[in-house]
Amino acid sequence: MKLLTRYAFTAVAIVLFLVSLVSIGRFLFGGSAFASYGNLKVKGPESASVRVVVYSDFQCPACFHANAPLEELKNQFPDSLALEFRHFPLERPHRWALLAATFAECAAEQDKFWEFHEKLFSTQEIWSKSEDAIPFFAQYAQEAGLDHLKMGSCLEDPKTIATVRRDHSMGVKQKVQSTPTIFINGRILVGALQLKEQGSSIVLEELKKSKKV
Amino acid sequence: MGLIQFLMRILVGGIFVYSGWSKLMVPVENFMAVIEGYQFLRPHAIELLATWLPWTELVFGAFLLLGFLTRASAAILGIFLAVFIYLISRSLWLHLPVSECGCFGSGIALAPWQALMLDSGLLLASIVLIIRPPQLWSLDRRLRK
Repeated sequence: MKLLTRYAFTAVAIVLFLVSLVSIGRFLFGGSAFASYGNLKVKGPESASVRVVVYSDFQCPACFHANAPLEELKNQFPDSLALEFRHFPLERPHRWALLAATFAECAAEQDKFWEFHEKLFSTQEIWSKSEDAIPFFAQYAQEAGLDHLKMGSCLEDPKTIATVRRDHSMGVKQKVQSTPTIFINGRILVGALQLKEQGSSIVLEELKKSKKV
Repeated sequence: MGLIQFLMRILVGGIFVYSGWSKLMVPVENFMAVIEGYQFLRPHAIELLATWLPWTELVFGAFLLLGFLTRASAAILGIFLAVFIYLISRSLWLHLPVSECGCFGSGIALAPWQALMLDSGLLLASIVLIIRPPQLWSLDRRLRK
């Protein structure tokens, strides 16, 4: 009996120690769940009460699948929802992801981000398997009516890649681990399935909170 | 032999502690998305599993690391490993879109076949620990004194 008590006491002590450690860890490394900053890749009204931030990678098939539900969500609440795109290229598994993000960032500079975004996702299967994706991106840029010279200088500008990296760093701070990760007013959803199942209801809840429904 | 078993205990326990910790430091939705990828549970069960599995990994990993309830902890972690091996094999067999096992949160990214090899090795180590639990630097030995 004495041994049993010793074991029970030790087990409780270890568990309590671990719970405290995790609480401290979460407090120290938790980071903010939602943060906003100047970003050219936003569609929807500035005054929107619901802000949907999506961390995405142009070469990720799951991001392609999340595109339609995101668009549906945007169409469902056109006046009260703003959609913000942030780059989160997963460079190791997706060799063209960073380059695609860089091209898209340059398209954003010419106010054509969303056209380019659609083009990249709709043709993802073609360029992602190619040996050299640059000619594809150059062609899409031309089709989107982007200024060739501006595009060239933007691609060479270190600030462009720095912007992509800044988006990525924001994601890391917000504990993004995979793409797509979506924040609806700070409430996290990971993947197309969670977005489809919970996206609308979360937006409605957020709208109710802001008393706009 | 005692030293080898002791090292196995540290390895298996340490890996589970790290695995549980890395999942607990990020929002639970991340691990939910990982579980969703394996397509074997209903949404409600996914949330429950995603919430509790990291805690059990952390607690029993710590127990094993400290040599506390060594045999029972190794058995529980061994069951986990057997289930992980089954799920990863199933995902490979069914060609599910699992490009990364999701075992360690954002810490270490392992391809399914790498995770399969690691889990198989850890399962063997767990079996050794169940059969012959090491007493070296263990709480079990201290508590029984």
